[in-house]
Amino acid sequence: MVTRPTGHDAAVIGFFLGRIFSVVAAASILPILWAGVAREWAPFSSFVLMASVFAVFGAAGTSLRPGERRLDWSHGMVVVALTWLIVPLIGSIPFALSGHFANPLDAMFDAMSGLTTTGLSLLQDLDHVASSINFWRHLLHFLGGQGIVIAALSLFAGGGGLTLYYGEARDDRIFPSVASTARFIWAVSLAHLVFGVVLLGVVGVFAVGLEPLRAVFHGLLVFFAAFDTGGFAPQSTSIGYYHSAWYEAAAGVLMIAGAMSFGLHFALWRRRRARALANLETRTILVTFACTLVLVIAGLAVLGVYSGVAGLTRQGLFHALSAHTGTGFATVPSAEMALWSGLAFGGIGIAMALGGMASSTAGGVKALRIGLTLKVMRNQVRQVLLPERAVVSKRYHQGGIRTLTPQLAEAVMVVSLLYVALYLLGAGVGIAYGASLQEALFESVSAAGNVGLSVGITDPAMPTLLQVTYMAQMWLGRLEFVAVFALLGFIVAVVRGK
Amino acid sequence: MRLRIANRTRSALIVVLVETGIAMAAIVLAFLVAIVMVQVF
Repeated sequence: MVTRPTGHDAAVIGFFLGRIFSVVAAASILPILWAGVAREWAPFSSFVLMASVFAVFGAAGTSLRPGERRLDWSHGMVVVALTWLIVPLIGSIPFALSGHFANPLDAMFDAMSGLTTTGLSLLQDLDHVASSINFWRHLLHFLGGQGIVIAALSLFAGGGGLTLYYGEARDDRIFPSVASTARFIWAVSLAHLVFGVVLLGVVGVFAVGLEPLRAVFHGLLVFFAAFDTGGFAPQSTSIGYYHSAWYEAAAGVLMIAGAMSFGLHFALWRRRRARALANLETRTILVTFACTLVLVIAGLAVLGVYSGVAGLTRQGLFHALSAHTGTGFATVPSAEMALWSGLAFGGIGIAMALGGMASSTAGGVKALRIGLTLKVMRNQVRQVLLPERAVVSKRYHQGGIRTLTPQLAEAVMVVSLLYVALYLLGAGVGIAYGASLQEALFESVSAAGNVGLSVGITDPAMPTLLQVTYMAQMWLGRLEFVAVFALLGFIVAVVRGK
Repeated sequence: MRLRIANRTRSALIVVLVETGIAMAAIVLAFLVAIVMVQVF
């Protein structure tokens, strides 16, 4: 029998949602200031409207004041799932009023893509969009990537923090308390913010030839997109706009930083490099990246698109890195990438599907799950080949020696299979609308893996059902299913519970 | 306080140096693969 949620459950969920909306309302001050300084008065008023809506929702939620403020597991999951639905909805207000989107759904598509750090976009005429709107697009990457939830934890440390942290698919506890973990994540992010903006700014001035102020503006936006493995870019031609191998290399360093788990950041921060290298996840991602890089470069060589070693190195590496880290930057137009058939296309597709590290802003199945899946498979084979009484070691190294229990193996397999099913679902809808299998699968993996590379299917003229499917894929992929299932379970309990 | 800031700055520098090192290793690997692929195809 399903128990119907009580008023107290709704009050707890509403209270914590209110806290998160208050954080977003505070963050909305940044684009308001930006629009004011840039004298962009139309976006300014739309940002004020958006901030007001967030503030009203925040105040309404926090005013619920449930008696017992402890957030249990299911409440936390529901809060996270709703956050990633409602924030894009309200956050799309400035986009919808900017005149750069065909309709409000297109605007929400971009807001969802921004918050989930995907990078697919339906914005029209990006090169003439107001700078404050462009800033908000990229800030959404930062809010989604660094986690509104983490920010809420830092500011309102107290009841329920850990549950929210888990719900956002960041189950790598670095410090004993969530508040100190959140503080560490902010320290890492701020250190990279300074490093990234200075690096991109300097390269922008000296290698690209941008004016200093413009170089800093582009540096800030590209930093948000690279470090949070998002993929939005200030210009319509993405990183290809800069025509600079140096700029691509600088963005590459930040993409690597973004795809690294905060556990790995912590190990490096504490100068424990040997331990970091011993981790199953580090080893897995090094191997899978090397394999996909070989595939992409071999594919490009076969196609003969880039004849020289320099062209193959630059294009192959940048796109393999962009795909594997889940960033979605490109240096070639979507139409040109669609022509990369065969091995190169497959290599990028596989890299997107595998994704970066767990507890990072990258999407996809994640290297830890791939490593554990391979470990389970190896153990199964060894169990068959070895004598019946032989004991197969089920230990692995991940921040220390751990045991691969049947429960963990089951959970890893289930989530990995759900990702595969999600990739196929989006591809099926794409095929139904006339896309080829190859292109439909590529775009679907890009959406569900929160990558953002496109072969042109994502377009303002795309069918509404396909658009909604991609939005659902971004949402599910970002939250790694569990939080969304908890929300569905909550809805079922409301409707059918007794 | 000053020591703490210096320590944190050093840690941050080490992290970004390692990340830059990984990127450089990836460039070298991609370069070697590209040389082989140009010879093969």
